[in-house]
Amino acid sequence: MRTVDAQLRLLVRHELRLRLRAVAWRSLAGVLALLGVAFVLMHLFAWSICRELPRSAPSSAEAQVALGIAVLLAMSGMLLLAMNAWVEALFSRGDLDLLLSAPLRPAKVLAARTLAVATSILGLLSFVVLPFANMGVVTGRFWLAGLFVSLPIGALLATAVALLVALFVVRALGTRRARLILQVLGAVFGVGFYFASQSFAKVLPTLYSQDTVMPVASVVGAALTAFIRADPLALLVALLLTAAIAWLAWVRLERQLVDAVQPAASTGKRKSGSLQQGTAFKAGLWSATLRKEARCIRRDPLLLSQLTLPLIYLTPAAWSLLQAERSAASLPLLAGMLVLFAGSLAMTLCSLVLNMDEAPELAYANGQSLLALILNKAAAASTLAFVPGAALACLMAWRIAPMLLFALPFVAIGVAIAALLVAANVTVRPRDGFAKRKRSLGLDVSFVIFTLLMLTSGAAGAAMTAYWPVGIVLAALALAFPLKEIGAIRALRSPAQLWREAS
Amino acid sequence: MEPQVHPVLHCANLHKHYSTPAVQGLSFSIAPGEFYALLGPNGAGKTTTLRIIAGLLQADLGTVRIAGIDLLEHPEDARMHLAYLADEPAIYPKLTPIEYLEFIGALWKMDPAQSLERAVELLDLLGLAEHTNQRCEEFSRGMKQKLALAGALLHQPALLMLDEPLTGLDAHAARLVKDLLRKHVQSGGSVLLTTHILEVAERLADRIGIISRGQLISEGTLAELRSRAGSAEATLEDLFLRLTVG
Repeated sequence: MRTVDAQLRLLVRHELRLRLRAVAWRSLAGVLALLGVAFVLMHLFAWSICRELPRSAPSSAEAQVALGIAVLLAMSGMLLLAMNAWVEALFSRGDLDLLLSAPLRPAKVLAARTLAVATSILGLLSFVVLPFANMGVVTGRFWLAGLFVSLPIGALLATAVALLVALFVVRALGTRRARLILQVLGAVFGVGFYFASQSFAKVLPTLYSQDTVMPVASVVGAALTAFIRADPLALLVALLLTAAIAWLAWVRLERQLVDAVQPAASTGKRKSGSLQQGTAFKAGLWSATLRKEARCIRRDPLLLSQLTLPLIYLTPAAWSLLQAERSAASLPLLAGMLVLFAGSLAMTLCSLVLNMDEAPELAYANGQSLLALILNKAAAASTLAFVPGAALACLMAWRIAPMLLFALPFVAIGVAIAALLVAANVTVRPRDGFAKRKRSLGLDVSFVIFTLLMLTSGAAGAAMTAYWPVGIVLAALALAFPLKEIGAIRALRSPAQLWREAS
Repeated sequence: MEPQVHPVLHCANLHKHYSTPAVQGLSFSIAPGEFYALLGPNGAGKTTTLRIIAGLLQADLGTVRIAGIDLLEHPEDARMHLAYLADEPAIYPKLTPIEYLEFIGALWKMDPAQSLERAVELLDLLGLAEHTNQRCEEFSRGMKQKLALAGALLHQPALLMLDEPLTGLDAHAARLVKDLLRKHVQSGGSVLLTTHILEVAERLADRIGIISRGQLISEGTLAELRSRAGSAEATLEDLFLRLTVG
C-alpha cells in the first residue's frame, strides 16, 4: 500500500514539476513580480465589489438564485480550463507510451493527472477567487470565507467531469478526432460562459417573474449558495459526486486510456482514388505555394480548429452587438467587430503560412532563393487571409449593408497589419504539434493585440462609470501585457539570419 | 529436479483487428538471454505486436506471458520485467537527463541511490555524461534516442523491446547501441527488436522471425532460414525479399 502511495506521489510531483517548468520559461522573478502586482490589483477590485455585498449570506430566494448563477458561471469556467488541461495531459505530452508500459495501473496515471489538473485549475482560479474570499474577511463579509474550502472541491469536481467527458469522447470518436472535439467543446463552454455572463442582468428579472421556474431555481440557488458558504452537507454532496465521477473515470474507463494511446494508424486509412483532373500544381512559385498552403490547411483538422477557435470565441460578442438596438454607436461597434474577426483570421492564417511549414527543411533547401520563397509565402498568406475576411463581411451584409463599404477597408487594414506583424517575426518552423504552434510568435503577437484591444476598451468603459477600480485593473493588465511581450518581439531579420537560425 | 525455466516471452495465438487485420494468430517465444529480431515490411504488424506485449494495446484474442506471468491477469507484475522503446520515444524536454532517468527508476520501483548510480553509468557509456545538467529540449534526435535507450536499460529488464532503435543515429552512436544490446544479452537479458536494417538483424540476432500481413511466415536462426530456403549462401536480405515479396 505504501508503494502505491509512493507511486501516486511520484506521478503527481512529476506532473506538477513539468507544468511549473512549462510556465516559468522566462525569468521566474519577473513572472512572480507581475503576478504579485496583478494579485494586489485583483484585491482592490474585489474590495470594491465586496463593499456592495450584504454582511450576512443572502437569504432571499432572488439573491440566492443570482448567487447560484454566479457559481454556475464559475464552474463552467473551471470546466473550460479543465478540458483544455486534459487535452494537454492526454494528447500533447506524448508520454503515455512510457507511463503505460511501466508497472503502474492506468488508473493511477489518471488519478495523478486528475490531481495535477485540479491543482493547476485551482492555481489559476485562486488568482481570481481568493481576493474575494480575502476581502470578504477584511470587510466583515465572513460568509465569503467559505470560498477557501469550496474552491478546491469545485476544482476537483470540474476536473473529474472534464476527464469523464474526455474519455467518453475518446471512446466514441477515437484519439485523433477526440483532440479536436475536446478543443471545440472547451470553446463552446467558453462561449456559454460568455453568453451567461452577458445575459446575467437581463435573465434575472425574467427568471424572478416565472412562477413555475422560480421554485426550482431557488432550491438550486440555495444549494449552490450553501456550497459557497462551505456548508458541510453541500460540500459532502460535492465530494461524493466527485468521488463517483472519478471512480467511473479511473476504474471503469481506464481501459479507454490504454486504447487511446494506440497509434493513429488504427483510425483507418483514406481510400486511394485516381488522380483527378485539375488537382495538379500549376507552374509558378506563388500559385504552387498558394495551392499547397490552402490544401494543407483545409485537410488538417488541427489547423482548421486553430483557425476557427478565435471565431468561436468572438462570435458571442458579435451576437450581442447584433442584438443591440440600432443606435448611433452600434454600427461603428459592429465595424470594429468585423475588423476583429478579419484580423483574427488574418493573424492566424498569416502565422500558419509564413511562420510554419510541414517541411521547413524542404522550404529552405529547394532550388528557389529563400527571399523568393518568403515573399511568395507572404503573397499566399495575404490572399488566403483576405478571402475569409471579405467573405465574412459579405455574409453579414444582410444586417449591415449600409456600413459594409465602411467596414471593408478596415478588413483590408486588419489583413495588412496582420501580415506585417507576422512578417516581422518570420521564421519557418515545423507545423506539427500544438506545443510548437503555441510558441509561434505571430500568434503571441495576435494574442497581445486582441488582449490589448479588449482591455483598453474595457478600461475606458469602466473608467466612465462608478466602477473605477475595474478600470484600474484592466488598465494595469493592458500595460502589463506589452511589457511582458515586448522582449519577445524581434526585429525583421534577413534571409541570411534566417538561414543561420534554421541550420 | 532442475528448476523450470520459463521463456522470457511467450505469445500465443495473438489477434488484433483494426479496420483490417493487423495481427493474425501470431505465436512465438523468446528464451532468456536470446536476441530475437522481428522483421517484416511496412504495415506487417511489428509495432502492433510490440505494443500488445508492452500492454499498450489489448489483443482481441490470445495470451502474452512475460517471465511466466500472464500480462492480462497481472499487468504490473509482468511489466516489471519489461522495457519498451518506441520508435519515437517521449523525452520530457524540460527535464535534465538525470531527472528523466531518476523518474524512470522510480516508475520501476528502483532504489534511488542504485538508480542514480546506474543512470550516471549509462550516461557515461552513451557519451551523454557532459550533458547531465542540460535540459533535454536542447538535445539532438540522436541524443534523445540514446537517452531513451538509457531509460530502457536502467532497470536491467529481463526483456528489452526496441522498435527501430537505430533510426536517427550516426555510425558511432549506432555501434554504441549495438554494443550495449550485445552486453545486455551477454548478461542474461533478452532483446526483441524490429528493424529495417537487415544487416543488424543478421549480425546480432540469435533467431529471426519474419512477419507479413500479421502472420509469422518464417522463424529460426539464419542457418535454419537458409536451409529452409535451400540456399546456403543467401543473405538475410535475399531471404527476406523472397519470403515477403510475392
